[in-house]
Amino acid sequence: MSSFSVTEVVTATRCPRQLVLLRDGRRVTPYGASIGPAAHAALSALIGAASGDPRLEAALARPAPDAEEIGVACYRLAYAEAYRKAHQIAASVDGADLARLDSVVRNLSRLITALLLRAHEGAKSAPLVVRKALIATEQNISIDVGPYRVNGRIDLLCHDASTGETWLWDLKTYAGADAAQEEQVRLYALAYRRDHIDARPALLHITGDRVEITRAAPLRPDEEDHLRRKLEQMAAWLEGRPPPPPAQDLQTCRACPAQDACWSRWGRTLPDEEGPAVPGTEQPTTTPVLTAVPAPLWLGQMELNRSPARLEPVDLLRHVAVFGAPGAGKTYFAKSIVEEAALAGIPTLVFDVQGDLAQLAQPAKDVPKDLIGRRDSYADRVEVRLFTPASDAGLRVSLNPLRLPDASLGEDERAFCLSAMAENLLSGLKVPSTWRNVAKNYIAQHLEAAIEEGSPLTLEALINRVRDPNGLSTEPLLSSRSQREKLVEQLRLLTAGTQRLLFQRGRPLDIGALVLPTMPGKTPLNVVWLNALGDQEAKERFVAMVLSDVYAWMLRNPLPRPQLLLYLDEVGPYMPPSREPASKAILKRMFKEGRKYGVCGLFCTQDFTDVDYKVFSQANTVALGRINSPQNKEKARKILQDVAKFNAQDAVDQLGNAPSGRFLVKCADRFDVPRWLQGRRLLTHHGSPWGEDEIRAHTSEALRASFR
Amino acid sequence: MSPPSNATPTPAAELDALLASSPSPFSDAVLPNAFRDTPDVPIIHRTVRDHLLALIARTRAEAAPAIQAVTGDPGEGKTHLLAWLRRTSEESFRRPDDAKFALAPIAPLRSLDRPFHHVLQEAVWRLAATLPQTIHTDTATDSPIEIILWRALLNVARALVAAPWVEEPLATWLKELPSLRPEKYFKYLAAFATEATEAWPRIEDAFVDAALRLPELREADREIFRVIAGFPRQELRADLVEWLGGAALSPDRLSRLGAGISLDAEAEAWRGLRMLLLLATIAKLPLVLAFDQIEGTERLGDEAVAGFLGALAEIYNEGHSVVLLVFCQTHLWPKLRDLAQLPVRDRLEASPVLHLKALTPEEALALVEKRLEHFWNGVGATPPSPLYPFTTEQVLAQIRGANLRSPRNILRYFQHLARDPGATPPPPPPPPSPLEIVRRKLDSLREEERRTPPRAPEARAGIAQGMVREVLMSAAASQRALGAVSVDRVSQVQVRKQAMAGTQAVVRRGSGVRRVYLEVSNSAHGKSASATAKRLEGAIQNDIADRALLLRESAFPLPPSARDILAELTPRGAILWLRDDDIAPLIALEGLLNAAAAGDIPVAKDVALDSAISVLGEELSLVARIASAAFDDDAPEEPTRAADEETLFRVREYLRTQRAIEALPRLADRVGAKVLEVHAAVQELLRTGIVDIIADRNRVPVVLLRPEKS
Repeated sequence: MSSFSVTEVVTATRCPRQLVLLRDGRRVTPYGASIGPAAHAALSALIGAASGDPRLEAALARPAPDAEEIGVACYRLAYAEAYRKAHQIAASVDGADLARLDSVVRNLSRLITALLLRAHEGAKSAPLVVRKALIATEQNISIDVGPYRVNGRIDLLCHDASTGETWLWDLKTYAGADAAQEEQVRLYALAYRRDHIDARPALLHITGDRVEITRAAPLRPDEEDHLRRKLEQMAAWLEGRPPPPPAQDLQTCRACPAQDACWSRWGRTLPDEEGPAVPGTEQPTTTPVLTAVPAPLWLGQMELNRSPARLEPVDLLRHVAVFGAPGAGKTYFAKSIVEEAALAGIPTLVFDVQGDLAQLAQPAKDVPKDLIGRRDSYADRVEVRLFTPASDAGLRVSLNPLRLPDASLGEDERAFCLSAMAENLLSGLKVPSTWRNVAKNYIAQHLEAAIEEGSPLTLEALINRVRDPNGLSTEPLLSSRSQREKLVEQLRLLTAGTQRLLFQRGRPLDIGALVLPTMPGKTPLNVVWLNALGDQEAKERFVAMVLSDVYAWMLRNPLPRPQLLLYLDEVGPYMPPSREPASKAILKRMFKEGRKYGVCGLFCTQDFTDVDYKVFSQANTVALGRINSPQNKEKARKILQDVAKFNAQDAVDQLGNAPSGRFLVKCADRFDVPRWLQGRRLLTHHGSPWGEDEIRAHTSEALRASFR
Repeated sequence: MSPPSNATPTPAAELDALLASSPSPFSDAVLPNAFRDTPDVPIIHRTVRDHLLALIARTRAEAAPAIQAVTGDPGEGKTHLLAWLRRTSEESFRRPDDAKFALAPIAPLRSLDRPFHHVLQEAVWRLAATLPQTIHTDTATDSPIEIILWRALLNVARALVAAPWVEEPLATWLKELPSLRPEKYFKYLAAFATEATEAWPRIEDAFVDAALRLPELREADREIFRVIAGFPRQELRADLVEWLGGAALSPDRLSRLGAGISLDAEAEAWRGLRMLLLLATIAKLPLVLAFDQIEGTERLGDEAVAGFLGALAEIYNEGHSVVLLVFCQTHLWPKLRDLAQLPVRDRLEASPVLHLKALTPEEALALVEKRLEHFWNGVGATPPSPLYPFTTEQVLAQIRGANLRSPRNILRYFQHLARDPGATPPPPPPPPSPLEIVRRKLDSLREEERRTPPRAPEARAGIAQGMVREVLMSAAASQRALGAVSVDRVSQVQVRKQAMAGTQAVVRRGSGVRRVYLEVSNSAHGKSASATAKRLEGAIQNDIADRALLLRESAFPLPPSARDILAELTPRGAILWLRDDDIAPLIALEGLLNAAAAGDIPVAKDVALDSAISVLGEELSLVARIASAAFDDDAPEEPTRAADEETLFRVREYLRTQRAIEALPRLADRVGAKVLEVHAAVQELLRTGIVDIIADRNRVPVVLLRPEKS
């Protein structure tokens, strides 16, 4: 019987070549992940000692246990082991990773504390509480599938008393789940299912700053067949017939410590410094700096010690919000972030409603001497494209309102995309509110059918389908023939007049193309100038449609590092507090899930009351400029008050008088307390809004040729 | 791992798609360093290879030194040859009794005043790199340096078996040592290591005393051998290798090793290097020191080249089992060689220069075939012929037609041709701008650096010293301002004869002119750090500078003696702390300038430097900070000895409430106090048993709150 370890199965899922190299004794785990075993040991020590620890028992014995007391007791148990392990691994890891170990242990302790507190209800004694919540740790498992055996060891089997669920958690000490990790925890769940224990598999990502529990998909009935096929394939790769293919996600190759051995054996997976980009490997040329040490984003100067104020590119993954009254300098500040992101190699998509953001295409003539180098780098490295829907001034683009999502998407995600697409189609059309929702679902029904048939869909074809529901295999949701006719009549409006131009003239907007430069080594910065679209409603509809394209694209192209920055200068209309436009649902999802997919949000608003409160909770970095109104001040105070040892009221008072460009920045990952900074000067022109003439002048013929 | 011969050929369309969708089979026309493997064609430069192997074999057999220059035009395969030599060395470790030689590539000199220290530092750094597990099979050893040391100690032990002066308990131990039986000569290195580790506390002193009476160790530096003989003590091994590599360790680490000296000064480094060569001779494992890209030394001036070649001659004259290989561009070698003094030149000319010849069409064909064969094997496809998409006739016609003679040109040409096999001649690639070439090279160097073993703090300081000087010189030459400051002149100066050279820059702000003297030092050893501080003092006293700056990574607390000297100099003497992101761009910059000097990028050195400054932009803000510090009378941090209560409290609270484990530079950054005060506070907490300090892989101190204090 051939044996594989769970690690090998996971490795093979991530990269078949790594499986072979692992068997050869090569290290394939990136160095940043080196604290994993130490964190596992700390978890194990905590759970092993929890039952007999007098401090923990005393804390749990109280009728109303104190979470902090339990947390401290848990932390002490775990930290003692982490401390011991830190000494053992120090010589082989970076200090920053070692420091992360303590944060992981703190978060781990908080999580275990929560489980213990939930188990406290109804338990008669402290040991019972522990046993009820924490079932097993570091338990060996083994699964026999055909001629193969898979061996592994689980991290934690625990019980959540508040939901009654048993969880199987696999601890990860770095952010970003991939299919390989999910495979691992599902394997464990499979082993328990054989023992008639129904445990829900989940990935427990405890990084330095957060705890995330990602539920793995439930086990499928054919899970064992799937595993057997996989093991057969692994055995074949190990024999070299066929040779193992490279990782699908080439980011794996960039971080792989066995890269030299891999390339010398099977050939390169990434282009060399002289070679042209190969399809699928473009990332290194678009983000040259990100491949090694990501350049920090330089925002200006800290007031505290006059040091440079910086964010890391990875901070953008958890979104940035800029607030300030008119004249506070928020657009100016946000533009500096866009410039920095571009310099760091992150492609950006900017919606320009007024014409002032298109000026990112013109490097500033006069900048302070210390910015000249940076300005020149920007001019040299950033490819600014000015897209002008419904106009030929810049790069004319059209929208395909029926870009169907991939059939491979999950059911829930696909349904969401189709619903948003139907909502976008209906926005601006006069469909009575009494059956508008039904009409939306009816259109989505046809879109789903088109996906199942695998045929592309035009507006005309959709209109024919809507008129005649016989092609549907299910009962049409819009049963009234007259309503269907009315809907057809409205949809026809999309094929005539300015709408037709918008949908049919110009190169269709393709998000995939937006993140790729036309010249190797450049970083694309895409500005969509919306002024030619006419009224505000048309602009909003356009943005909503692009957003739904971005959403579908990101689901197809997940990347655990920033791959697209989305900048909305005034987010209010797209995420209002009371209405529910299609853009709102998409933005909410994007903000929530974007970091998993490498899509970052940068948004501004001048009034807190114009925006749904969820915006605040999703942005990890918040920059506050001058704020005048008492309501906004109160909101600002609430945002700041959860920071320990920080006088929120005092800061809000100062915000009332903040000059333009002075911002109070809260970013838990970078600064322990919010810090005041003075934004830096822009590298690009910032003046009166641009019209078509300026746009035309700043769109080169070469770019026009590339986007024709 | 060729596909079976009876495999069904892959359809042409699929082969073409694979070719289009994968990185080119002809990648790596420029091999970034000798640690990257590309498919090797043994017939290329076969004569040179045979000659080198014979040279090494002779050195091993006769324990006599050899020096050999290897020249070739850019792209002729010098680095590839070095990579082959490295691979040959590693593969020779596959069987423990077959180790033929150990190879250490040495980077170009960084400072004109310390060639021996540079060679020692680079050699030990490279030799201490962990061997791939697939290659090294001996559980006792992890790296070539460990193999050298264990083998040397084993051979000493073998020699002592018959020595009449050996007394108990050493005599019994030696007699009973099974690994000494001749027929098991090297297979029992692991056994020897295990037994020596166990017995060393009992026999170390006797072993050292007895060993030093052996004729083999007649020339040994007794003081250094005593320290090295502590190698079997497991807890000392890492420190010992660092010490041997010329690191200036802190006094407590030195005392643990029983070392009275550091090998960071030039004289001591030379003693260390000689001892290393002697040990390699005793271990019967010749040391091959390969000096690639020596054109990079030209940056430091003719004097440095002469000094460097003189140092090579000195190493040669020591007469141990060492092979010195010097790789240089053909047209530059006569010029560099002529800079050496006559006796040195004689040494260099004793063996005729090995010139890498242009490839014959048949060798070129073999190169193309090897690359394509490797590619098709890697992707698991079976083409109708290994040369697919070409035929032998086509390849030969292209090689002859385009007169392709060097491996790099052949690879570049076929890289373009493979994209469009029908085109004749292949479409010329659009020429990238120097800025673009530099950007790509910097990116590639940073990628490589990530895979390179961590550099010692002293090496980082050396690189920073050299590169800061280069950037300042570029600013002076181009009249480029650094913030509000412009640079008039930059030079290397020695405060005293024989002292290490620092950098002097004359800077101007408005109408004010200041001369600033600077040195970069990460030394943890009090003597070495205070020597640096004294040179700063001397620069001011001798009127070499108005301001003297010590540049130091904030990870490394300043030893008290140096702190006291600097305190006296305040405000004319000051410390400028380097942030953890200051060094990485300077390391990449050094690699870039060496590549430009060696012709690995088609950009002149000066253009490369200017372009790199533009590409790196804000990442080089350190240089502007230096220029600005020359005028900021209030900015310098006043050296303090005692920890103030406020900082002490803040550090303790940070560790208790934020992070109980934190790297020292980050702690200094996070606590928001002056770096020296944070260092002092940490020392106080260490003294009172509240924290512990350990070193990470870059030797950066990490502070840990003790569990009982958490």
